[in-house]
Amino acid sequence: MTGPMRTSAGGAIDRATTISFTFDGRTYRGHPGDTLASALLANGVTLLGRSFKYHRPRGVLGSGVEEPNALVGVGLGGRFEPNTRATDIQLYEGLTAVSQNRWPDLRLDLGAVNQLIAPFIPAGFYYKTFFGGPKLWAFYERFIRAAAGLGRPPAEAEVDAFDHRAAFCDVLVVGAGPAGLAAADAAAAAGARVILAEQDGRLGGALLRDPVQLSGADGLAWSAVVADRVRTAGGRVLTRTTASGFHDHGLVHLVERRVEAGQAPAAGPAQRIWHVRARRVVLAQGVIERPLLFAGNDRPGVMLASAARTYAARFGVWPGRRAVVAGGDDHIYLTALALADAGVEIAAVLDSRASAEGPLAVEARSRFACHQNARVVAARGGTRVRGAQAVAGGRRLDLACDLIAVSGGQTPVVHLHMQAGGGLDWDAAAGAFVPVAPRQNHEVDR
Amino acid sequence: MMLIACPHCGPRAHVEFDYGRTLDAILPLDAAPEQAAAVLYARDNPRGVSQELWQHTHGCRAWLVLTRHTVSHEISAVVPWVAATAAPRESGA
Repeated sequence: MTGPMRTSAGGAIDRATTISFTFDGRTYRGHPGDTLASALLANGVTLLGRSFKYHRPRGVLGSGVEEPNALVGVGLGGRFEPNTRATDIQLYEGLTAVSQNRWPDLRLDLGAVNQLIAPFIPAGFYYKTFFGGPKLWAFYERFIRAAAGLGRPPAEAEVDAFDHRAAFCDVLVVGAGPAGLAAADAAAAAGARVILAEQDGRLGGALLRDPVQLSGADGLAWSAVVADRVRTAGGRVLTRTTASGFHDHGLVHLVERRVEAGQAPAAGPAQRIWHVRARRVVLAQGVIERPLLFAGNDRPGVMLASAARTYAARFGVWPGRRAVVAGGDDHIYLTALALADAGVEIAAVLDSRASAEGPLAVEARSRFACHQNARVVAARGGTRVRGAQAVAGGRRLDLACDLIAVSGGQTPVVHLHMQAGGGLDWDAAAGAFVPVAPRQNHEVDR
Repeated sequence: MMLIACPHCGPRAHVEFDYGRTLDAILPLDAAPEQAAAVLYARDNPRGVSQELWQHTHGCRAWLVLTRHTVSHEISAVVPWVAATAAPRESGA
């Protein structure tokens, strides 16, 4: 068992193998298949950083590249990399991570006094306020420079090599969730040369957190079969590979991470940029969940509902032991049921809608306290969530919990589509801006 | 990063090519200074279809006339430059 918050079974991790890593000098254990964030959560570490200005405690909000809070420095010497998302680093033996923007340490951070004087340094407060003659500035500058920025830049020169490579294909598929896999499968079956790029280390996308049966098989087993079929047909499947730019006439740049941040490659370059010229491009990048607005919604223990499900299902980690789930669509019921099945106690489900009659809602109501017309007003706690203040139908609720899982709706990942000149349109049913009118030769998955 | 279909070499990335100028900026060798200034500095900058002279510098070295949309970068035609007109040939700058 690697940590007090690790479940006894389940998840796409190799429980037979244990690897050790350090965070702020302390040694912890995790498993292959973990991310740095999931391994720290398993060890009960929820405080991962401090905010930029007020040094507010920050933990893990997401479970992938969308993570805004859990930024850490990783690696040593010439391989040190600051501002790396803990949710996007696959754990490896000997990983060395440090927290950022705190002094003298993460728990006792003197910069946190900024929270007390916050009323006097409003948003937009600028260091130039301190200008007052060269002598005064020379005095202030030392402190301002020390307080500026989040991570520290590496002190030594980069030691690894970086490579680039050109490639051509008929169909490039970005994203290996169910939609991307199906697209790559169909294109390969039709005889097209296919490249499938997935930024995660594993294929399956949402199937990794929400178990689904596809073509009569477990979703992840189906993913493996499809990927094999694409490879057998001559296609290329790239993992840990992010499409970073979509340029004219089907040129897409991919960044392939051959090793993780701070990790020494066994041979060859650490990263590789692919210049892929594709006849057609399929963007199947999925969605990112939106957070909710309430006081203290950056407190460690407030987490996206999709991330909470990911930690429970994919990593075998309890994101908390007692959860409040809040939001405005049926994802909250899906989340509450998934967390409860993983062994998390559900304190309450707070649905902002007046009614919910879907099958998930009906099942959830039979098992947990579910409130309609309800929302979170504030997260209580210091360096981690201790409870949630909520309003349900005009009545105040004070709920003890160590996890607030929030779902403010799903936003399609439209970055590449937009960067390639495509348009957006408001879809009321989806509650999101959705991609329309692609300008390049690409398809968008709806 | 456009893809230019060279009539001799096939589709190639535009880094292989060098841009010359638009066709309406081609200057007769004996042009008067006023005419040269007008052609070179006061020419149109269309938002739309533009006729341009490109050289496949890192390929067949041929001079090509591209019909290119300046907003969408759509290239509707690539034909070799043919010195059939009275216009003098570019020196190749």
